[in-house]
Amino acid sequence: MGLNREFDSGVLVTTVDSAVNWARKSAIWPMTFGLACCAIEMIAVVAARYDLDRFGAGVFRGSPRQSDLMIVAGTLTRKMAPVVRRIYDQMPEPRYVIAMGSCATSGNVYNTYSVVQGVDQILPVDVYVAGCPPRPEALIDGILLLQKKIMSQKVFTK
Amino acid sequence: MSETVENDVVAKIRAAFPDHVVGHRVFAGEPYLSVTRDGMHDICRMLHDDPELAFDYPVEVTAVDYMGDAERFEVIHVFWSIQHRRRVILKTRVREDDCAVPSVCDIWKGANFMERETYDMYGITFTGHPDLRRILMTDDFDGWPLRKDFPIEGRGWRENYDFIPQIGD
Repeated sequence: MGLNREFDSGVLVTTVDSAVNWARKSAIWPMTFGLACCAIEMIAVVAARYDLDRFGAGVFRGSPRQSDLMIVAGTLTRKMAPVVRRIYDQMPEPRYVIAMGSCATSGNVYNTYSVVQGVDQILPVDVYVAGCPPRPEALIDGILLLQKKIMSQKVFTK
Repeated sequence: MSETVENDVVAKIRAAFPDHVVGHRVFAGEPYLSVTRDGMHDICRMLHDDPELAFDYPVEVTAVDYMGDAERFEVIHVFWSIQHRRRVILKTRVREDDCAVPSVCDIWKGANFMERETYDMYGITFTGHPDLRRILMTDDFDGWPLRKDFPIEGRGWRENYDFIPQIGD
């Protein structure tokens, strides 16, 4: 094309999609939202030993309006379900949901009158993390999986 | 109930309410009193007010469902005396078709929430309670979850997601 090669040393060429996705996956801000014992493991993930900040997901926000990711950590009861749904609805798009632990995934052993049998009954879930509760490594694996999913998404093209 | 071991709480209550104590038991040094519903409130008043008893702390209020018995429910009150460092357990049987016991909220204010919880879970009415509403379940909940004839999975309440916004809302 006869393009001068004068920018060679300082220019990276990429697609807009991957640039935007890279920005999104590198700063997934989660909601501070613990429902049960899984929340303790979630807290451990953010603390110094496991240090979720290495993956850009350590900035836990107190408001759904500043968050990208909701980690549903624990048993969801029917009484709490409308609250969870409302918080999810308040999050700006793009938003993601991780169902952390057996209770959030399927209700676990709590097949009772008061427990919702998995948060996927009321929310779209992106990643399920197994365990009761999952080890911090498992949650980190879930977040890395979510990052992989974000990278594969199309932003400006169909 | 066996009446072998003597206990001064049992002796005192039995002497004051001979018609209303239907049985007692002493297990591990702690007295269990089975009382009639009619005498229950007066016995509670004495347990609280008598300086030798002075049961000033309501530890818990709960119930047991003996399905199939004529007197189906047994309401259990546990009281602790901080001063004398001892416990007493009071048991009152009620029928299903007349499912009510007197409230002890006028004696122990701390019994308020525990009576509400027992009402919520078993449907037992506490007459004289200042504010008898459900406390754990929501007001639209149908049924008494801890009764033996209540299905474990409930009656569809947990699958009712009418709060999810629909297209057009």
